[in-house]
Amino acid sequence: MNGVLGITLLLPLIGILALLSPRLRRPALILSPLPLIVCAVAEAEIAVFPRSLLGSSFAIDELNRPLLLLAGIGWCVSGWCAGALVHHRRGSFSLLWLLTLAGQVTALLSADLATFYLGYVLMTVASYGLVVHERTAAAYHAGRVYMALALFGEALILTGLLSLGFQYGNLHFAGFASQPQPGAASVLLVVGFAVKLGIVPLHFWLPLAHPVAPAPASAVLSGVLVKAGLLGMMRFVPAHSLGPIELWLGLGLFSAAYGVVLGLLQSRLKTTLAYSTISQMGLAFMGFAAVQAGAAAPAALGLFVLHHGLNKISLFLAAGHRGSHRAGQLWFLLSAAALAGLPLTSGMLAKTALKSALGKVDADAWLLGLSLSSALTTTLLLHAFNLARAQTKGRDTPHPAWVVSSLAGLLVPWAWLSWHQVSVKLSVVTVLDALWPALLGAVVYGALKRPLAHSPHKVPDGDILFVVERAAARAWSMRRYFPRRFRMLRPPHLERLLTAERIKGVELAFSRTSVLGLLLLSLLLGLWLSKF
Amino acid sequence: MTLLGQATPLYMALISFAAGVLLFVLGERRQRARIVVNLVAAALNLILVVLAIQAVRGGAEFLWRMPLLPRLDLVLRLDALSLLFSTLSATLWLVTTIYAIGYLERSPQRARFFGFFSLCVASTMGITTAGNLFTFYVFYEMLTLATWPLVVHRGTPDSLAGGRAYLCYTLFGSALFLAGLVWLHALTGPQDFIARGVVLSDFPGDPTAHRIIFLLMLAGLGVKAALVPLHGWLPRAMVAPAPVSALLHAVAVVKAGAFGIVRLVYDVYGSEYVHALGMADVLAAWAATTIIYGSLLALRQDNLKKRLAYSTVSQVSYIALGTALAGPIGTVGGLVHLVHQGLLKITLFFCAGNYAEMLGVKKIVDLDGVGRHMPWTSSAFTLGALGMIGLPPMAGFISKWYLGVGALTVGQPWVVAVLIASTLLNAAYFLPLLQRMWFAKEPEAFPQAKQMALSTRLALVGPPVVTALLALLAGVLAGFELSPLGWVKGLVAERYE
Repeated sequence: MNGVLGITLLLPLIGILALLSPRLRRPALILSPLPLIVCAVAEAEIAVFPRSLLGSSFAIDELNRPLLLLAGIGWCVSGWCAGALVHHRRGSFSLLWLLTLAGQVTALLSADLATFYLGYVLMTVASYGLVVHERTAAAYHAGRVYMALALFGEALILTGLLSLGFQYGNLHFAGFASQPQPGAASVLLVVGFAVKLGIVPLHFWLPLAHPVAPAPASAVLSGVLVKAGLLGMMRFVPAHSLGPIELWLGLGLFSAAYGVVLGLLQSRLKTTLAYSTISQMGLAFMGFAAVQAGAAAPAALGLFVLHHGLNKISLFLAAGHRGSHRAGQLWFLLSAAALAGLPLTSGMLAKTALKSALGKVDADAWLLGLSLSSALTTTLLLHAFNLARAQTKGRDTPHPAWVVSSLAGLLVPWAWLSWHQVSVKLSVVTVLDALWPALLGAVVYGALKRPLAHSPHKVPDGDILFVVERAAARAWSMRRYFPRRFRMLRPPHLERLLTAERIKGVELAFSRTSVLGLLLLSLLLGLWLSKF
Repeated sequence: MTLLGQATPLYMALISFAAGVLLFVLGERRQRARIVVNLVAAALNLILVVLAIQAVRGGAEFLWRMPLLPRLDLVLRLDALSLLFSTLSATLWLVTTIYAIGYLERSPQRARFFGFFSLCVASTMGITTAGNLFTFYVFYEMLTLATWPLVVHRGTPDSLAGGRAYLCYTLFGSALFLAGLVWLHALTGPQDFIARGVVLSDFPGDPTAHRIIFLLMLAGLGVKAALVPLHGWLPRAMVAPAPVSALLHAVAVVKAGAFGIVRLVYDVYGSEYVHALGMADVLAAWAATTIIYGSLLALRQDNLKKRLAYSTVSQVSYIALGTALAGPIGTVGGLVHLVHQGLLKITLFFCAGNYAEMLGVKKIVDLDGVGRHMPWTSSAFTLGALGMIGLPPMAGFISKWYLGVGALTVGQPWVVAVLIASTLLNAAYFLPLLQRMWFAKEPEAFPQAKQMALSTRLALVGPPVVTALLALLAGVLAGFELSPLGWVKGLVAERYE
């Protein structure tokens, strides 16, 4: 294997060692993710370590390439920004940051079941620390909800992975996609990974957890981490194993619409952006369903993921800044325009690719749905811009990292396109196709602006969470109907049976002549009977 | 081979036994001599085990036989399975001895403690190397008696009650086991352990008798292995000092029961015959019930050591569960957990002891913010807890993977459901502890924060860190031949052709 893979995997761990010296903290955060970018453009390769874990292997292939690029840029700019935006508990923040990064890198590069699971788990558990970084009551609550849902997902994923491991062993999984596989395992895996993506109704951790974290952490959580779920689906769920594609497309579209509507009802920037992530991941999930049904190439989905991740990072970094700065407003608008898919932005590219993928599913309704979702995204992002302008806390001048991420969101997808020849036909029609939803969205926002401004924050954070929590509380209160211990399984109190008094009593009983006589008689009887 | 005679397994037990006697003779005062005897004996034992591993890998066999009564031999033998357990015991004995020296600094009755401690290890060594059921039983009983003074070491009414519960349960179990042993002996005559089991159908006695004997012995072993509802003694015995709890839960008593079940199933009855009798399903169902029940009760505890004790109840049954699965993969999962659970659980108990000793923290609610105060101990605890949940790359994940895949291979998917439920329950009772340690606000003052000498600190903090790293390495380097997994794979191949 060439050294790039090894360096990429080890650098976060070396970064953790470097934390011992506070002066190296900032460089560690910025430099640790950089080799990922090199990986993204390196030759495809596989490295196998048969002796570690259950036999680990790592690979660079067409599936993880866009994510590697996204993670490299995203973690780097966010880490750079974190140096300026995080002021308390920097040591523990950096440690958890690098642990999460180490998990992310492992998950992205791994090419076998156990190693992927290792990376995924490490990423999930360590990012808990980023969520509760502020140590407020809201942060703890969000962390608890996040962990509970993540564990639920993890349990489903592990079940699915065990059944894959039973069928194919823990080997390099390039072969899975072509293998037939029982539908049950596929569904378990998809639902398990959907937790990370925030597909409705498993989304409610996202609007709680992403906003409470410091801005750079929210950026990587929303921009990069959620995509690991998508990679998991692409890796482990082979084509045509999920049954009717319409079900999954519908679920994705519903998430896309749901995220926007709920997002519009929020009055805090980060919460709105988190709902926007739910909405966009709904679209990505539709893309996955299309790939699943064999209608689209994974490359189209890769482009979409890259585009969303970079722009979402830029928007979340904006949330760490004050809203009054002119240049800052410009950068925010640029990223928002790209995310909404305005003509000639990276968003137009990504959505065109997604549409051409869905076009093959032969349903105009889905295409219309996609266009309408673009309109809704425009509305939501205008709302977000309004909120961003009103931000009064944070850094004043735009941090260079933010500028870099904004530019990356605009330019990198184009570069990616020219390098990878994703089949995107660009024409006047495409541009018009991108234009009308945006205009429609702007009009809708114009109509909604006033009512929205007058009724702030009607929906509680995590919308359906309170239903779940109430149900959980009720279930918990039911426990008084259960016995403290299951009587049947109560450990016998042997030592109480053998108290001195009782032994004395037995002793006394034996010492009575009548008892002895009886015993002797039965013994004789037994001996006599045994003769026959 | 030339260096080690046939009596090597005997020496392994004798070293600890001699150390125990010597410690009694030395008396309370000679602290330095006591430390030297302790460490030298533990180190010697470990060296002997390592040499034996090399010899056995080279194809050597060790068998020592002494006629005790007509047709009743004391047989000590080293095979791959006994080496698995004796390596674990020898390693953890050394570590625990160091820990105990630090833990019991300046407390009374140390001669008595370390004397019985050594006897306890001598019996464990005997159990691991026993070559037939009778020898196993002799050492099994010796273990019961040698452990009791350790459980009641503090002499408080609480610990006396705990010790009483312990004796009542284990003696009851021994009686059942003895009944089964005698009955089996009457049917088959003397039989050594043999891979894949004695062919019972060649001997008088119908399958019903075989079933009853199996259940008698299983119940007898189940007391020590803490199968529900025979587990009552275990949570009460946690009144013992931390090093004792650590050894009790990780190596000595509980593991002796689990190891006995493994021997009974594979080397007496033979896995196939156990299945033919339908007893494997009984064992699997029993183990599964224990796994879930133990975890549920662990959730309810507010005392750290009690929570760990119930967690042991649950985790040790993984071994029984793996034993009950027919295929080789499930067996690997069960056997390798014998080692993995030992490493993980001893780490957790060491850490619990450290919290109690250094900060006076015994309740879970008092754990807030201890991470910042005791980073090394808390890191070790974190690794141990994550391993217990079964998250990679810790050793616990390897066990769970093999158990799950093994269950699917033999067409028993319900076992996967049990494993997943257990994973979630483990997470539910371990993760809140980690959250308190690392992310909760530090209190103004801990209940009883103590200042300690550096050497004491090292003796207390070093062992958990070492065992946590071992558990980490057992997972990360599982592919190597000498890892627990590699070793178990080899010995399982012997039992399934």
